[in-house]
Amino acid sequence: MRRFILVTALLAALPVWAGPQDILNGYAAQAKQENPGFKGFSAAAGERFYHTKGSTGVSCASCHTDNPRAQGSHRTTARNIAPIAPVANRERLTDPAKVEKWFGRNCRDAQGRACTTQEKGDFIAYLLSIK
Amino acid sequence: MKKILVWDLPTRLFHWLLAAGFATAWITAGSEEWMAVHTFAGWMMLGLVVFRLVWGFAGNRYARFSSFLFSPKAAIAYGKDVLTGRAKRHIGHNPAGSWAIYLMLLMVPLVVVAGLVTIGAEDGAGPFANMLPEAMGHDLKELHEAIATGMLVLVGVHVLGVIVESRVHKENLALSMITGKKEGQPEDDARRPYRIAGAALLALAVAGAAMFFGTPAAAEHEEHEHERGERSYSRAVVADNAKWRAECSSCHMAFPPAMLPARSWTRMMAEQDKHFGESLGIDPATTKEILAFLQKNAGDVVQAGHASRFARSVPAGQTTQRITETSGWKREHDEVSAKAWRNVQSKANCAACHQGAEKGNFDEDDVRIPKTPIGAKKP
Repeated sequence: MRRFILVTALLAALPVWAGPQDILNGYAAQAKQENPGFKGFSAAAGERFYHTKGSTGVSCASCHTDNPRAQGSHRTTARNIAPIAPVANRERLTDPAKVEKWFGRNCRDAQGRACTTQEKGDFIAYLLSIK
Repeated sequence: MKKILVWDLPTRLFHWLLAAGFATAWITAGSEEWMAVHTFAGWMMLGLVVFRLVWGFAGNRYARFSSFLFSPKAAIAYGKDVLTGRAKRHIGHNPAGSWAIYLMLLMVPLVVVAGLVTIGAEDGAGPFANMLPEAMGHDLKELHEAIATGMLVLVGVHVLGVIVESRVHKENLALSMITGKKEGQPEDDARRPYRIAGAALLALAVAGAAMFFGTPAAAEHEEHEHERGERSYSRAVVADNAKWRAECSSCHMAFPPAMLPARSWTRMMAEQDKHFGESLGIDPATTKEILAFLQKNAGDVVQAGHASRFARSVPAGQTTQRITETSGWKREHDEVSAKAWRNVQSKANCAACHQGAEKGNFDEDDVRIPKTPIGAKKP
């Protein structure tokens, strides 16, 4: 009985303790739902996306620098931005709500529009490919 | 020639206490932490000058004004004589030294009153509390500092004159201001040292210090200092809220709510889709919580030192969004050079200079302006 409670508790805690891979899996499930022909995420596409300037003239790299392992800086306030790659910053990609919030904000600021699920997944795949 | 008494005890004490007062005031200038000591030094100097004016009629023959009434012309002529090494020896005050005294007696009240009026305008404290508007505080401070600098120059000239004269006449003038004695003819001896009057003067100075630092007024003053410094700002931020801190510190530091009035914050959260060119997209529940926190701790609601002054400088009916556009903020930063602003990149980057900004400490003493651009980061 005690073991059962422990296992249940651990399982219940799983979504809270989400790792980057869990978040990526979440986006994959969503992508499959949206597009029956979904063929998985591509780190290479994510890397291209990272450096692509949108209608605003801004790319992810504008603030997060060309190296996702490096500390970035806000373009107008000069606020330090901790490295975005999980390999350099273990707090990254651990909270699904936070990830969604920042995609929401930054896709608009950089691309001038919301990102597609495919783009989000590619982006995370790229960050996870950085060792 | 024999040792004779020239300077009576009160005159000597006046000289050295004034010198100590000026040195103390000069060293403690500009430091909020030492403001109470600075203010006391000023009051003591003012008291000493009042005493000296009385003593100029009541003291011994060399202390009386009647013994050193010289024209400015005589002072300049004497100064030239000192430079060429032909200056005549005076037992009492010489013409140049006399003018140093006159000027000092004039400048001390000026500098002290200017300082007190500054405190009155900037902090609403002291005998001239709120006599002049806060906006004039800066100019008053400049005036106060200009007079003080003039006094320092005067002190420098005086010390130089003492050194040169001591050499020319082969006597230690500084030492005679301590012992009161000089070499001279017996008929020039002032005879009366006024030891009791001297002891009374010293007792008065000590009593003044005890009163200033030991009374409720001093405690209040000290409390006021703290309020102006670290504590008040901390208080503005210590009123903390996790959501406010998390949301408002991701793109810039979490600016203390006290820096803007409640109506500015209301507009800020209502217009979060165009927040200085970015869209925040904070969920409604979080938005509501943050706005409530901001309104409760806004600068027109709470009193938090300079922070709330920024808020209170926003004209009625206006909802200024940039803290750096409030006249209160501008007033505090008008001395920052264009180069310094380039080095810190953004006026939103408080912590570039205010070392404790993130903890709510904007104390002037903890400001370090970067000498090189802070953006020069390694990849």
